[in-house]
Amino acid sequence: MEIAFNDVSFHYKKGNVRGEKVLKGLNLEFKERKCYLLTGPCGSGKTTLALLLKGLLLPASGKILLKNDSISLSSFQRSIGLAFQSPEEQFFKETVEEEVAFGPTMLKLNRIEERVKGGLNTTGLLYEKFSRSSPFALSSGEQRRLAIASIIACEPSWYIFDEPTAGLDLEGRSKIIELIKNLMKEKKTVIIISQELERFIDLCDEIIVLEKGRLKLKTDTRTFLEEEKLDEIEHSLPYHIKVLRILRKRGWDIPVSITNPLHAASIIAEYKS
Amino acid sequence: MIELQNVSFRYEEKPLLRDLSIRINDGELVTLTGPNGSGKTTLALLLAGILQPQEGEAMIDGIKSSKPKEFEAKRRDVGIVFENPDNQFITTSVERELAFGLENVGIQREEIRKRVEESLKRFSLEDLRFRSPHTLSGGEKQKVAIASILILAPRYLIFDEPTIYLDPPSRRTVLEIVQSLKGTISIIFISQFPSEIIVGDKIYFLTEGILEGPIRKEEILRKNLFKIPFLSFLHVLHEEGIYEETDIPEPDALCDVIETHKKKISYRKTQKNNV
Repeated sequence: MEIAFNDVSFHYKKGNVRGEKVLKGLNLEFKERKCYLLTGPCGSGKTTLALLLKGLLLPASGKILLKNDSISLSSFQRSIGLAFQSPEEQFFKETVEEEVAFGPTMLKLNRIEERVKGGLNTTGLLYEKFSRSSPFALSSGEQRRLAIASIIACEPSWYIFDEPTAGLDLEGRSKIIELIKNLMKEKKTVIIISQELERFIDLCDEIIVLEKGRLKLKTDTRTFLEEEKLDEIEHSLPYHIKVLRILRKRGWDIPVSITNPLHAASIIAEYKS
Repeated sequence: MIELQNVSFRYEEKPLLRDLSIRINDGELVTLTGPNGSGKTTLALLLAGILQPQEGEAMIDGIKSSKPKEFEAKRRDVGIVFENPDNQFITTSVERELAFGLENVGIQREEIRKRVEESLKRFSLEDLRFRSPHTLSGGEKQKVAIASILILAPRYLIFDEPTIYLDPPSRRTVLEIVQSLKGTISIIFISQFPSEIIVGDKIYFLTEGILEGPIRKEEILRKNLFKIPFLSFLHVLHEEGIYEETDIPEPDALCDVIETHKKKISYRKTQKNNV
Protein backbone atom coordinates (compact mmCIF):
# COMPACT_ATOMS: atom_id res chain seq x y z
CA MET A 1 0.00 0.00 0.00
CA GLU A 2 1.19 3.50 -0.77
CA ILE A 3 -0.22 6.98 -0.32
CA ALA A 4 0.96 9.71 -2.66
CA PHE A 5 0.84 13.50 -2.62
CA ASN A 6 0.44 14.77 -6.15
CA ASP A 7 1.30 18.47 -6.53
CA VAL A 8 -0.47 19.26 -3.24
CA SER A 9 -0.71 22.87 -2.03
CA PHE A 10 -2.43 24.24 1.03
CA HIS A 11 -3.17 27.62 2.59
CA TYR A 12 -5.08 28.52 5.72
CA LYS A 13 -7.77 31.16 5.52
CA LYS A 14 -7.69 34.30 7.62
CA GLY A 15 -11.37 35.18 7.82
CA ASN A 16 -12.40 35.10 4.20
CA VAL A 17 -8.98 36.09 2.98
CA ARG A 18 -6.62 33.51 1.57
CA GLY A 19 -3.46 33.30 3.68
CA GLU A 20 0.01 32.58 2.44
CA LYS A 21 0.59 29.07 1.11
CA VAL A 22 2.01 26.80 3.79
CA LEU A 23 2.54 23.87 1.43
CA LYS A 24 3.60 24.45 -2.14
CA GLY A 25 3.29 21.85 -4.91
CA LEU A 26 4.26 18.87 -2.81
CA ASN A 27 5.06 15.59 -4.54
CA LEU A 28 5.94 12.63 -2.34
CA GLU A 29 4.77 9.19 -1.35
CA PHE A 30 4.69 7.10 1.80
CA LYS A 31 5.03 3.32 1.57
CA GLU A 32 3.70 0.90 4.13
CA ARG A 33 5.93 -0.74 6.78
CA LYS A 34 8.49 2.02 6.65
CA CYS A 35 9.54 4.56 9.24
CA TYR A 36 9.78 8.18 8.09
CA LEU A 37 11.23 11.17 9.88
CA LEU A 38 9.57 14.39 8.77
CA THR A 39 11.67 17.36 9.74
CA GLY A 40 12.33 21.01 8.93
CA PRO A 41 12.33 24.37 10.72
CA CYS A 42 9.32 25.79 12.60
CA GLY A 43 6.61 26.90 10.19
CA SER A 44 7.86 24.71 7.33
CA GLY A 45 4.49 22.93 7.12
CA LYS A 46 5.20 19.64 8.91
CA THR A 47 2.01 19.52 10.98
CA THR A 48 -0.10 20.70 8.05
CA LEU A 49 1.28 17.80 6.01
CA ALA A 50 0.27 15.40 8.80
CA LEU A 51 -3.26 16.84 8.93
CA LEU A 52 -3.61 16.44 5.16
CA LEU A 53 -2.34 12.88 5.34
CA LYS A 54 -4.88 12.06 8.05
CA GLY A 55 -7.62 13.75 6.01
CA LEU A 56 -8.37 16.42 8.63
CA LEU A 57 -7.52 19.06 6.02
CA LEU A 58 -8.18 18.90 2.30
CA PRO A 59 -5.65 20.09 -0.29
CA ALA A 60 -6.36 23.53 -1.78
CA SER A 61 -5.02 22.15 -5.04
CA GLY A 62 -3.44 18.90 -6.15
CA LYS A 63 -4.46 15.40 -5.09
CA ILE A 64 -3.79 12.79 -2.46
CA LEU A 65 -3.96 9.31 -3.97
CA LEU A 66 -4.15 5.89 -2.39
CA LYS A 67 -2.59 3.11 -4.39
CA ASN A 68 -4.80 0.28 -3.24
CA ASP A 69 -8.11 -0.97 -4.62
CA SER A 70 -9.63 -2.61 -1.59
CA ILE A 71 -10.21 0.51 0.51
CA SER A 72 -11.25 4.10 -0.20
CA LEU A 73 -8.94 7.01 0.58
CA SER A 74 -11.25 8.45 3.23
CA SER A 75 -11.70 5.21 5.16
CA PHE A 76 -7.95 4.61 4.98
CA GLN A 77 -7.31 8.11 6.33
CA ARG A 78 -9.77 7.51 9.16
CA SER A 79 -7.76 4.46 10.19
CA ILE A 80 -4.48 6.39 10.55
CA GLY A 81 -3.51 6.98 14.17
CA LEU A 82 -2.38 10.55 14.75
CA ALA A 83 -0.82 11.61 18.06
CA PHE A 84 -0.92 15.38 18.43
CA GLN A 85 1.86 17.42 19.95
CA SER A 86 -0.19 18.60 22.95
CA PRO A 87 -2.10 15.56 24.21
CA GLU A 88 -3.96 17.49 26.91
CA GLU A 89 -5.89 19.21 24.13
CA GLN A 90 -7.44 15.94 23.05
CA PHE A 91 -8.67 14.54 26.39
CA PHE A 92 -12.25 14.93 27.47
CA LYS A 93 -13.25 11.82 29.38
CA GLU A 94 -13.28 11.50 33.16
CA THR A 95 -11.07 8.44 33.50
CA VAL A 96 -8.09 7.02 31.67
CA GLU A 97 -10.06 3.87 30.90
CA GLU A 98 -12.95 5.77 29.26
CA GLU A 99 -10.50 7.92 27.34
CA VAL A 100 -8.76 4.91 25.78
CA ALA A 101 -12.07 3.13 25.14
CA PHE A 102 -13.52 6.11 23.30
CA GLY A 103 -11.72 5.61 19.96
CA PRO A 104 -12.43 1.89 19.51
CA THR A 105 -16.06 2.39 20.64
CA MET A 106 -16.62 5.14 18.09
CA LEU A 107 -15.05 3.00 15.37
CA LYS A 108 -17.46 0.19 16.44
CA LEU A 109 -14.56 -2.19 17.02
CA ASN A 110 -14.83 -5.39 19.09
CA ARG A 111 -12.83 -6.54 22.18
CA ILE A 112 -12.90 -3.04 23.72
CA GLU A 113 -11.69 -4.07 27.17
CA GLU A 114 -8.83 -6.09 25.76
CA ARG A 115 -7.82 -3.16 23.54
CA VAL A 116 -7.89 -0.72 26.46
CA LYS A 117 -5.69 -2.96 28.58
CA GLY A 118 -3.36 -3.63 25.65
CA GLY A 119 -3.01 0.05 24.77
CA LEU A 120 -2.28 1.09 28.34
CA ASN A 121 0.14 -1.73 29.11
CA THR A 122 2.08 -1.26 25.86
CA THR A 123 2.67 2.39 26.72
CA GLY A 124 3.74 1.54 30.26
CA LEU A 125 0.66 3.02 31.96
CA LEU A 126 -0.30 -0.05 33.97
CA TYR A 127 -4.02 -0.71 33.70
CA GLU A 128 -4.44 -1.62 37.38
CA LYS A 129 -2.74 1.58 38.51
CA PHE A 130 -4.08 4.15 36.09
CA SER A 131 -7.47 3.03 34.72
CA ARG A 132 -9.49 5.03 37.29
CA SER A 133 -7.29 8.17 37.25
CA SER A 134 -8.37 11.37 35.56
CA PRO A 135 -6.41 12.08 32.35
CA PHE A 136 -5.90 15.62 33.61
CA ALA A 137 -4.24 14.49 36.84
CA LEU A 138 -1.41 12.72 35.01
CA SER A 139 2.07 14.14 34.53
CA SER A 140 2.93 15.45 31.06
CA GLY A 141 4.88 12.29 30.21
CA GLU A 142 1.98 10.09 31.29
CA GLN A 143 -0.45 12.24 29.30
CA ARG A 144 1.64 11.81 26.19
CA ARG A 145 1.63 8.04 26.72
CA LEU A 146 -2.13 8.07 27.32
CA ALA A 147 -2.66 9.87 24.02
CA ILE A 148 -0.62 7.18 22.30
CA ALA A 149 -2.43 4.40 24.21
CA SER A 150 -5.77 5.72 22.92
CA ILE A 151 -4.43 5.39 19.41
CA ILE A 152 -2.86 1.97 19.90
CA ALA A 153 -6.21 0.72 21.21
CA CYS A 154 -7.63 1.28 17.71
CA GLU A 155 -4.82 -0.93 16.36
CA PRO A 156 -4.05 1.15 13.27
CA SER A 157 -1.36 0.03 10.89
CA TRP A 158 -0.25 3.61 10.16
CA TYR A 159 0.89 6.00 12.90
CA ILE A 160 1.81 9.68 12.83
CA PHE A 161 3.59 11.14 15.87
CA ASP A 162 3.77 14.94 15.95
CA GLU A 163 6.79 15.97 18.07
CA PRO A 164 6.33 12.93 20.33
CA THR A 165 9.11 13.82 22.76
CA ALA A 166 8.59 17.58 23.14
CA GLY A 167 8.33 18.55 26.79
CA LEU A 168 9.22 15.08 28.11
CA ASP A 169 11.99 14.16 30.53
CA LEU A 170 14.78 11.71 29.74
CA GLU A 171 12.85 8.69 30.94
CA GLY A 172 9.68 9.77 29.14
CA ARG A 173 11.62 10.25 25.93
CA SER A 174 13.32 6.86 26.03
CA LYS A 175 9.96 5.17 26.75
CA ILE A 176 8.43 6.77 23.65
CA ILE A 177 11.38 5.71 21.54
CA GLU A 178 11.11 2.16 22.88
CA LEU A 179 7.44 2.18 21.96
CA ILE A 180 8.09 3.35 18.41
CA LYS A 181 10.74 0.63 18.04
CA ASN A 182 8.16 -1.97 19.06
CA LEU A 183 5.64 -0.65 16.53
CA MET A 184 8.29 -1.00 13.87
CA LYS A 185 8.97 -4.59 14.92
CA GLU A 186 5.28 -5.22 14.40
CA LYS A 187 5.70 -3.97 10.82
CA LYS A 188 3.64 -0.83 11.30
CA THR A 189 4.13 2.29 9.23
CA VAL A 190 5.43 5.15 11.37
CA ILE A 191 5.78 8.82 10.49
CA ILE A 192 7.60 10.87 13.12
CA ILE A 193 7.52 14.65 12.98
CA SER A 194 10.45 16.07 14.90
CA GLN A 195 13.28 18.55 14.83
CA GLU A 196 15.31 16.35 17.14
CA LEU A 197 17.27 14.46 14.53
CA GLU A 198 19.65 13.11 17.13
CA ARG A 199 16.90 11.11 18.79
CA PHE A 200 15.32 9.53 15.76
CA ILE A 201 17.94 9.34 13.07
CA ASP A 202 18.91 5.71 13.71
CA LEU A 203 15.27 4.59 13.83
CA CYS A 204 14.02 5.72 10.47
CA ASP A 205 14.37 4.42 6.93
CA GLU A 206 13.81 7.73 5.22
CA ILE A 207 14.13 11.41 6.04
CA ILE A 208 11.84 14.03 4.57
CA VAL A 209 12.90 17.65 4.90
CA LEU A 210 10.43 20.49 4.39
CA GLU A 211 11.54 24.08 4.02
CA LYS A 212 9.07 26.96 3.72
CA GLY A 213 6.33 24.60 2.54
CA ARG A 214 8.42 22.94 -0.15
CA LEU A 215 9.95 19.50 -0.26
CA LYS A 216 13.66 20.05 0.14
CA LEU A 217 14.80 16.47 0.42
CA LYS A 218 13.42 12.96 0.63
CA THR A 219 16.02 10.28 0.90
CA ASP A 220 17.27 7.33 2.94
CA THR A 221 19.19 8.16 6.11
CA ARG A 222 22.61 7.29 4.72
CA THR A 223 22.30 9.48 1.63
CA PHE A 224 20.86 12.24 3.79
CA LEU A 225 23.94 12.32 6.03
CA GLU A 226 26.25 12.32 3.02
CA GLU A 227 24.46 15.38 1.62
CA GLU A 228 26.91 18.27 1.16
CA LYS A 229 24.63 21.17 2.04
CA LEU A 230 21.79 20.80 4.50
CA ASP A 231 21.34 24.53 5.14
CA GLU A 232 18.74 25.29 7.78
CA ILE A 233 18.67 21.85 9.34
CA GLU A 234 22.45 21.47 9.49
CA HIS A 235 22.38 22.63 13.12
CA SER A 236 19.89 19.90 14.13
CA LEU A 237 22.25 17.13 13.04
CA PRO A 238 23.56 14.95 15.85
CA TYR A 239 26.73 16.36 17.42
CA HIS A 240 28.98 13.46 16.40
CA ILE A 241 27.78 13.67 12.80
CA LYS A 242 28.59 17.38 12.69
CA VAL A 243 32.10 16.48 13.86
CA LEU A 244 32.49 13.73 11.25
CA ARG A 245 31.26 16.07 8.51
CA ILE A 246 33.72 18.80 9.47
CA LEU A 247 36.63 16.35 9.62
CA ARG A 248 35.76 15.08 6.17
CA LYS A 249 35.63 18.64 4.84
CA ARG A 250 39.11 19.05 6.26
CA GLY A 251 40.28 16.13 4.16
CA TRP A 252 39.76 13.10 6.40
CA ASP A 253 38.84 9.99 4.48
CA ILE A 254 36.02 8.78 6.77
CA PRO A 255 32.36 7.83 6.40
CA VAL A 256 29.89 10.38 7.79
CA SER A 257 26.70 8.32 7.81
CA ILE A 258 27.41 6.74 11.18
CA THR A 259 24.30 6.93 13.35
CA ASN A 260 25.91 5.34 16.40
CA PRO A 261 27.98 7.94 18.35
CA LEU A 262 30.23 5.32 19.99
CA HIS A 263 31.09 3.88 16.62
CA ALA A 264 31.84 7.42 15.38
CA ALA A 265 34.16 8.03 18.34
CA SER A 266 36.08 4.81 17.69
CA ILE A 267 36.49 5.69 14.01
CA ILE A 268 38.05 9.00 15.06
CA ALA A 269 40.24 7.33 17.69
CA GLU A 270 41.58 4.75 15.25
CA TYR A 271 42.01 7.08 12.26
CA LYS A 272 45.53 7.44 10.93
CA SER A 273 46.19 10.47 8.77
CA MET B 1 22.98 34.77 48.10
CA ILE B 2 19.67 32.93 48.07
CA GLU B 3 19.14 29.94 50.21
CA LEU B 4 16.65 27.32 51.30
CA GLN B 5 17.27 25.67 54.67
CA ASN B 6 15.63 22.34 55.51
CA VAL B 7 12.57 23.24 53.52
CA SER B 8 9.61 20.90 53.15
CA PHE B 9 6.61 21.56 50.99
CA ARG B 10 3.39 19.69 50.32
CA TYR B 11 0.39 20.31 48.10
CA GLU B 12 -2.72 19.37 50.11
CA GLU B 13 -1.68 16.08 51.70
CA LYS B 14 0.87 15.12 49.09
CA PRO B 15 4.44 15.81 50.24
CA LEU B 16 6.57 17.11 47.38
CA LEU B 17 9.83 18.47 48.79
CA ARG B 18 11.40 16.96 51.89
CA ASP B 19 13.97 18.62 54.12
CA LEU B 20 15.72 20.28 51.23
CA SER B 21 18.65 22.70 51.45
CA ILE B 22 20.35 24.60 48.66
CA ARG B 23 22.47 27.75 48.44
CA ILE B 24 23.19 29.89 45.39
CA ASN B 25 26.09 32.30 45.82
CA ASP B 26 26.40 35.66 44.09
CA GLY B 27 27.37 35.40 40.44
CA GLU B 28 26.94 31.62 40.26
CA LEU B 29 25.27 29.75 37.41
CA VAL B 30 23.54 26.72 38.83
CA THR B 31 21.54 24.23 36.78
CA LEU B 32 18.81 21.96 38.07
CA THR B 33 17.34 18.93 36.38
CA GLY B 34 15.00 16.06 37.20
CA PRO B 35 12.02 14.14 35.82
CA ASN B 36 8.60 15.66 35.13
CA GLY B 37 6.71 16.06 38.39
CA SER B 38 9.78 15.88 40.64
CA GLY B 39 9.17 19.31 42.18
CA LYS B 40 11.46 21.55 40.12
CA THR B 41 8.90 24.31 39.60
CA THR B 42 7.95 24.24 43.29
CA LEU B 43 11.62 24.60 44.18
CA ALA B 44 11.89 27.54 41.75
CA LEU B 45 8.84 29.24 43.27
CA LEU B 46 10.27 28.78 46.78
CA LEU B 47 13.62 30.27 45.74
CA ALA B 48 11.81 33.21 44.14
CA GLY B 49 9.85 33.75 47.36
CA ILE B 50 6.53 33.24 45.54
CA LEU B 51 5.73 30.19 47.66
CA GLN B 52 6.43 30.14 51.40
CA PRO B 53 8.05 27.04 52.90
CA GLN B 54 5.73 25.10 55.21
CA GLU B 55 8.74 23.94 57.17
CA GLY B 56 12.24 25.37 57.15
CA GLU B 57 13.37 28.76 55.96
CA ALA B 58 13.89 30.61 52.66
CA MET B 59 16.46 33.42 52.68
CA ILE B 60 17.44 36.16 50.28
CA ASP B 61 20.67 37.91 51.24
CA GLY B 62 20.25 36.65 54.77
CA ILE B 63 16.71 38.00 55.17
CA LYS B 64 14.43 35.21 56.32
CA SER B 65 11.00 34.45 54.88
CA SER B 66 9.69 34.35 58.45
CA LYS B 67 10.10 38.16 58.49
CA PRO B 68 7.48 38.92 55.81
CA LYS B 69 7.92 42.69 55.59
CA GLU B 70 11.65 42.77 54.94
CA PHE B 71 11.49 39.58 52.86
CA GLU B 72 8.81 41.06 50.61
CA ALA B 73 11.15 43.94 49.69
CA LYS B 74 14.00 41.51 48.99
CA ARG B 75 11.83 39.42 46.70
CA ARG B 76 12.11 42.11 44.05
CA ASP B 77 15.74 41.13 43.54
CA VAL B 78 14.65 37.75 42.19
CA GLY B 79 13.25 37.43 38.68
CA ILE B 80 11.69 34.31 37.22
CA VAL B 81 11.15 33.22 33.61
CA PHE B 82 8.53 30.50 33.14
CA GLU B 83 8.26 27.70 30.59
CA ASN B 84 5.33 29.26 28.82
CA PRO B 85 5.90 32.98 28.15
CA ASP B 86 2.29 33.42 27.00
CA ASN B 87 1.22 33.23 30.64
CA GLN B 88 3.20 36.28 31.62
CA PHE B 89 2.34 38.74 28.81
CA ILE B 90 -0.24 41.35 29.71
CA THR B 91 0.22 44.24 27.29
CA THR B 92 -0.37 44.72 23.57
CA SER B 93 3.12 45.46 22.29
CA VAL B 94 6.69 44.35 22.94
CA GLU B 95 7.62 47.91 23.88
CA ARG B 96 4.85 48.18 26.48
CA GLU B 97 5.64 44.74 27.81
CA LEU B 98 9.18 45.88 28.56
CA ALA B 99 7.99 49.10 30.19
CA PHE B 100 5.27 47.49 32.27
CA GLY B 101 7.38 46.22 35.16
CA LEU B 102 9.23 49.54 35.45
CA GLU B 103 5.99 51.53 35.49
CA ASN B 104 4.75 49.30 38.27
CA VAL B 105 7.65 50.11 40.54
CA GLY B 106 7.30 53.83 39.84
CA ILE B 107 10.38 54.57 37.73
CA GLN B 108 10.51 58.02 36.03
CA ARG B 109 9.17 58.10 32.47
CA GLU B 110 12.45 59.31 30.96
CA GLU B 111 14.37 56.53 32.65
CA ILE B 112 11.82 53.96 31.46
CA ARG B 113 12.18 55.14 27.87
CA LYS B 114 15.94 54.92 28.12
CA ARG B 115 15.95 51.41 29.57
CA VAL B 116 13.37 50.14 27.06
CA GLU B 117 15.52 51.42 24.17
CA GLU B 118 18.61 49.77 25.62
CA SER B 119 16.78 46.52 26.13
CA LEU B 120 15.28 46.47 22.60
CA LYS B 121 18.76 46.96 21.24
CA ARG B 122 20.45 44.41 23.47
CA PHE B 123 18.02 41.65 22.48
CA SER B 124 17.66 42.72 18.82
CA LEU B 125 13.96 43.36 19.32
CA GLU B 126 13.84 46.78 17.61
CA ASP B 127 11.93 45.51 14.58
CA LEU B 128 9.35 43.81 16.78
CA ARG B 129 8.70 46.73 19.14
CA PHE B 130 5.12 47.40 18.00
CA ARG B 131 4.14 43.75 17.57
CA SER B 132 1.78 42.09 20.03
CA PRO B 133 3.82 39.61 22.10
CA HIS B 134 1.23 36.91 21.47
CA THR B 135 1.85 36.97 17.72
CA LEU B 136 5.59 36.31 17.98
CA SER B 137 7.32 32.97 17.37
CA GLY B 138 8.17 30.78 20.36
CA GLY B 139 11.79 31.89 20.50
CA GLU B 140 10.92 35.57 20.11
CA LYS B 141 8.32 35.32 22.87
CA GLN B 142 10.81 33.81 25.29
CA LYS B 143 13.31 36.55 24.38
CA VAL B 144 10.73 39.24 25.22
CA ALA B 145 9.87 37.44 28.46
CA ILE B 146 13.54 37.35 29.48
CA ALA B 147 14.09 40.99 28.44
CA SER B 148 11.06 42.16 30.42
CA ILE B 149 12.45 40.56 33.57
CA LEU B 150 16.06 41.65 33.04
CA ILE B 151 14.98 45.27 32.54
CA LEU B 152 14.06 45.29 36.23
CA ALA B 153 17.74 44.59 36.99
CA PRO B 154 17.24 41.57 39.23
CA ARG B 155 20.26 40.19 41.08
CA TYR B 156 18.98 36.63 40.85
CA LEU B 157 17.28 35.13 37.85
CA ILE B 158 15.49 31.79 37.78
CA PHE B 159 14.73 30.11 34.45
CA ASP B 160 12.07 27.43 34.83
CA GLU B 161 12.45 25.19 31.76
CA PRO B 162 12.34 28.18 29.41
CA THR B 163 13.28 26.10 26.36
CA ILE B 164 11.03 23.10 26.81
CA TYR B 165 8.61 24.03 24.02
CA LEU B 166 11.14 25.72 21.73
CA ASP B 167 12.71 24.46 18.51
CA PRO B 168 16.50 23.93 18.42
CA PRO B 169 17.43 27.38 16.95
CA SER B 170 15.27 29.21 19.51
CA ARG B 171 16.72 27.05 22.26
CA ARG B 172 20.15 28.13 21.21
CA THR B 173 19.11 31.82 21.36
CA VAL B 174 17.95 31.41 24.96
CA LEU B 175 21.09 29.55 25.91
CA GLU B 176 23.27 32.26 24.40
CA ILE B 177 21.44 34.86 26.49
CA VAL B 178 22.02 32.80 29.63
CA GLN B 179 25.70 32.41 28.86
CA SER B 180 26.05 36.13 28.18
CA LEU B 181 24.63 36.82 31.65
CA LYS B 182 27.11 34.49 33.35
CA GLY B 183 29.02 36.23 36.07
CA THR B 184 26.86 39.38 36.04
CA ILE B 185 23.98 37.97 38.08
CA SER B 186 23.20 34.69 39.85
CA ILE B 187 21.30 32.28 37.66
CA ILE B 188 19.34 29.15 38.43
CA PHE B 189 18.60 27.39 35.16
CA ILE B 190 16.13 24.51 35.15
CA SER B 191 16.15 22.23 32.14
CA GLN B 192 15.81 18.67 30.96
CA PHE B 193 18.18 19.01 28.03
CA PRO B 194 21.66 17.65 28.83
CA SER B 195 23.25 20.18 26.46
CA GLU B 196 21.74 22.93 28.62
CA ILE B 197 22.32 21.36 32.02
CA ILE B 198 26.05 21.30 31.48
CA VAL B 199 26.30 25.08 31.15
CA GLY B 200 26.06 25.24 34.96
CA ASP B 201 29.09 25.53 37.20
CA LYS B 202 27.20 23.31 39.60
CA ILE B 203 24.51 20.83 38.67
CA TYR B 204 21.71 19.58 40.90
CA PHE B 205 19.33 16.66 40.39
CA LEU B 206 15.86 16.59 41.89
CA THR B 207 14.14 13.22 42.04
CA GLU B 208 10.87 12.71 43.91
CA GLY B 209 11.47 15.71 46.12
CA ILE B 210 15.03 14.78 47.08
CA LEU B 211 17.84 17.02 45.95
CA GLU B 212 21.19 15.54 44.97
CA GLY B 213 24.32 17.47 44.21
CA PRO B 214 25.99 19.71 43.48
CA ILE B 215 27.88 17.76 40.86
CA ARG B 216 30.66 19.61 39.11
CA LYS B 217 30.54 19.86 35.36
CA GLU B 218 33.82 17.92 34.99
CA GLU B 219 32.31 14.79 36.51
CA ILE B 220 29.51 14.63 33.97
CA LEU B 221 31.93 13.99 31.14
CA ARG B 222 34.42 11.93 33.09
CA LYS B 223 31.84 9.54 34.48
CA ASN B 224 29.43 9.76 31.53
CA LEU B 225 26.62 10.44 33.99
CA PHE B 226 23.98 10.96 31.34
CA LYS B 227 23.69 8.21 28.79
CA ILE B 228 23.15 10.78 26.08
CA PRO B 229 24.49 10.20 22.55
CA PHE B 230 26.68 13.28 22.24
CA LEU B 231 28.05 13.04 25.78
CA SER B 232 28.84 9.35 25.31
CA PHE B 233 30.65 10.32 22.11
CA LEU B 234 32.72 12.93 23.96
CA HIS B 235 33.27 10.53 26.84
CA VAL B 236 34.96 8.01 24.51
CA LEU B 237 37.21 10.74 23.06
CA HIS B 238 37.94 11.75 26.67
CA GLU B 239 38.86 8.17 27.63
CA GLU B 240 41.07 7.85 24.56
CA GLY B 241 42.97 10.93 25.67
CA ILE B 242 42.00 12.85 22.54
CA TYR B 243 39.85 15.45 24.25
CA GLU B 244 41.00 16.40 27.73
CA GLU B 245 38.92 19.48 28.54
CA THR B 246 35.64 19.29 30.44
CA ASP B 247 33.64 21.85 28.50
CA ILE B 248 31.38 20.87 25.65
CA PRO B 249 33.12 22.35 22.64
CA GLU B 250 31.54 23.55 19.43
CA PRO B 251 32.07 20.86 16.75
CA ASP B 252 34.59 23.07 14.93
CA ALA B 253 36.66 23.57 18.06
CA LEU B 254 36.57 19.85 18.82
CA CYS B 255 37.84 19.09 15.31
CA ASP B 256 40.78 21.46 15.95
CA VAL B 257 41.61 19.53 19.11
CA ILE B 258 41.31 16.17 17.34
CA GLU B 259 43.61 17.29 14.51
CA THR B 260 46.20 18.67 16.91
CA HIS B 261 46.13 15.38 18.79
CA LYS B 262 46.63 13.35 15.61
CA LYS B 263 49.53 15.58 14.53
CA LYS B 264 51.23 15.10 17.91
CA ILE B 265 50.92 11.34 17.59
CA SER B 266 52.31 11.19 14.08
CA TYR B 267 55.13 13.57 15.13
CA ARG B 268 56.02 11.26 18.03
CA LYS B 269 56.00 8.29 15.66
CA THR B 270 58.42 9.91 13.21
CA GLN B 271 60.65 10.88 16.14
CA LYS B 272 60.66 7.25 17.31
CA ASN B 273 61.39 5.99 13.83
CA ASN B 274 64.28 8.42 13.46
CA VAL B 275 65.78 7.20 16.75
